[in-house]
Amino acid sequence: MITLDRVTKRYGSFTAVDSVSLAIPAGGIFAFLGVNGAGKTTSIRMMTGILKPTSGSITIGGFDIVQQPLEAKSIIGYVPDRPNLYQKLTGREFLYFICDLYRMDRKHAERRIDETLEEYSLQQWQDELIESYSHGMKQRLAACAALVHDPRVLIFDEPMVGLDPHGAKHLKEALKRYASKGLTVFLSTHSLNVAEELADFLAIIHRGSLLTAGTLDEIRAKTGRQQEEDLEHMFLELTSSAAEH
Amino acid sequence: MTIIPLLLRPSLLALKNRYVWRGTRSLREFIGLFASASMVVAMYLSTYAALEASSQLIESGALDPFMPLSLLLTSLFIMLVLSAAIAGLGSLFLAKDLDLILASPVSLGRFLRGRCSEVALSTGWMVCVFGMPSLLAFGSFFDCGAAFFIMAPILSALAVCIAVLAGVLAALSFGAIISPRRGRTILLLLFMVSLLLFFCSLNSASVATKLSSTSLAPHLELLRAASQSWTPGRFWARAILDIRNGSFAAAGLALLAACTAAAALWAALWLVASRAYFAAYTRLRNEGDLLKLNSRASQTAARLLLPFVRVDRRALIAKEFKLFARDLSHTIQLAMLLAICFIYLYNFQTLEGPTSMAEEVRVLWQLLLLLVNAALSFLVVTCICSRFVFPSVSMEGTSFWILQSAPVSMRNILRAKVAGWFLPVASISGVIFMSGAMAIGADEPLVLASCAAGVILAYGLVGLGVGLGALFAHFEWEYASQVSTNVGSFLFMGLSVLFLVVSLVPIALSFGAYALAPNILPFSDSPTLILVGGLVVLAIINYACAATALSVGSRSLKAR
Repeated sequence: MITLDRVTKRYGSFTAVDSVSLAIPAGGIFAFLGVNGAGKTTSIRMMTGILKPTSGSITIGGFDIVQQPLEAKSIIGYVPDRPNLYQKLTGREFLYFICDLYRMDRKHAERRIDETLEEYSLQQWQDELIESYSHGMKQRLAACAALVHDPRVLIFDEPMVGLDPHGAKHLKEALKRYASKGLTVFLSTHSLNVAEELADFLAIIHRGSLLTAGTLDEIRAKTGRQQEEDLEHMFLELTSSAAEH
Repeated sequence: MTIIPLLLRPSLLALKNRYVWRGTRSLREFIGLFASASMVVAMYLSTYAALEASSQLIESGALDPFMPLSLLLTSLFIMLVLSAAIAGLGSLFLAKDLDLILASPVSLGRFLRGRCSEVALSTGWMVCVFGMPSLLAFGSFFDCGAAFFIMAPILSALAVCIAVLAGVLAALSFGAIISPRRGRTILLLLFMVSLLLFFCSLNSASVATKLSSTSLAPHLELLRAASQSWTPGRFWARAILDIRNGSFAAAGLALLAACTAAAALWAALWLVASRAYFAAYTRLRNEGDLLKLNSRASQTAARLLLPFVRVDRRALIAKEFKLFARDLSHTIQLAMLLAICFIYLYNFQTLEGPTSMAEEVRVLWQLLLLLVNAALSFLVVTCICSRFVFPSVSMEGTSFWILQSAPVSMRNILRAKVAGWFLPVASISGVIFMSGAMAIGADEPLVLASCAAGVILAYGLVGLGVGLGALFAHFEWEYASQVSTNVGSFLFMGLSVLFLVVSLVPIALSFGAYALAPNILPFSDSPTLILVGGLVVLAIINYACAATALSVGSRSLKAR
């Protein structure tokens, strides 16, 4: 469903993402792990068409994000790490705006807005300006906006940041539910317990380069770890040894 | 005084970082800087040329040099106060860094000094770009001595200081009495009432003078009368002229008066702030907006108002309108600019076409006034565009990712912005162009052609504004009014003037041919065709200008 083929992003002499290749199958949850500044957000921004790769190609659902951006974007739902939304719109107006950008049928849009607002417990705030929302509420509204147009690929950048324990638990359950319905969920995180709990597939990126990718067991096998060794140990060792090199 | 450099440091460092060479991305910043410098030079040269052209009038005593200087400095002072009031509202109540600064161990006095300096930095460019080159040209033309070139900048700096303090005091008082969130409706109401009172007072005073005018003298008299009342701008001009005339005692007195006024304003500002600022700020943070919004109704309204517009374009236009209508700083700027439109129309009315001239002279005079009207109306509309249309892409701010990740092309996003802004700008432009033409008693076809020219020029100007706004997009702003004061805005103003010069050619040719057709042209039996032809050429120029700007802008956004 998502393919990254030798994707590189350079800012002047600095290489933020260095020849990353990934193939993520449809359905299931994929966790993209890395320390701060590893290149997770840059990769995601290239996948969503916000940034253009310096080289390499990215396809989403068979559409090249550079060559066919509109087709690729129409099947993606994206929640950024910082939910900067239009402060002077109400929550519902914002969702109407998103539905119209995706050219959704009016009745279908109304139904999906009601469903997503209910799912994320925002109905009573729907007519309030977004500027009066808390950070967590904005995060939930951004999730509503990502889901409202029924995407096939859902991309979350640090989804747990700013959510209270109830919100985090609700989101984790929701992500599992979406994956079980056939959506491809791509989430970036540096929260290893979240990745361990949710992810069917994992990849670890460090200083722009991909260290490893696969299921948890595959990564253990590739790196010669014990079956019972947890992700935190593996992650710390992998990123430390990469830092030494 | 360390607080001033401390609180200004983020702005100054941001400015410095902007001009650190980062390859081709920095190129546009340097082009903009170069354009601004060119504008300063152009301002100097045009003032000097205007003084040279009026030298006979000045020598004969018909035109006192004090009068145009006074008008220039008064206008500049008023613009400074209004801009400082807008920037002050943003800086004191709406800036994103307020929580951080108010939580720091900073006393009220230090906080106010820092904020006033920030406002002075963001508004003082007007004096640097428009005021100082004119003053220097004035000094050079009249061969003023070294004292003039030393004292004039000092007096100008004091005038900026007074204007900034007055503006910030007005903003603070406004925020203390009416919450910046709640004040929108009340402010607009107050503005409309004061405008009405202003017009009533002007009409009663001058209506007798402007009737049956046959020469320029009564108009000059009218302008002189308008500058009789005491204003800081006039005071500023008087002091500068005193230096030119060698009356240093009078200039010293003016300097003392300016210092006293600044000190008094500072004391008043401190007093109001110490009593009301924190209460006003807290109230602003605690209360919700009074607007009762019905999201479903607003969506239905957008659908009904724009029934044949593509759904994604309609969404973008409706969003643009909602964000604009709900932002207080936009409301204040709109009120200011509408006031400029009204004042322009009123002033132009005083140049009513003379009736007792010979027919040939009357036609030429009317033609000249029509072209002057077109040029001045265009500049008024450019001011509106530079405040609203040019910043419209940057106004997406940190929410721009929403559009970047949506299945809509940048070209369509920019086109939606043009479509959204064209109607209001074209309405204002059409009305100003047409009213000016009517005020000078032009024929009906010329009035209609003026209106059509206004509408066509609005398209080109909106396209140019959106395109350049995209090229110079700056998404990391602190508060809305910051966006329209960057280098790209200068470039937009400069290119608009160039665009005006090109657009005036078909207007001048067609209007001129129409007015003179009965006498000299072979197709005098259908002269309106000449006007239509001119308008078609104008439309082609405007379409080309808008399309080029939009193409450049969308490419720039895609490459980000």
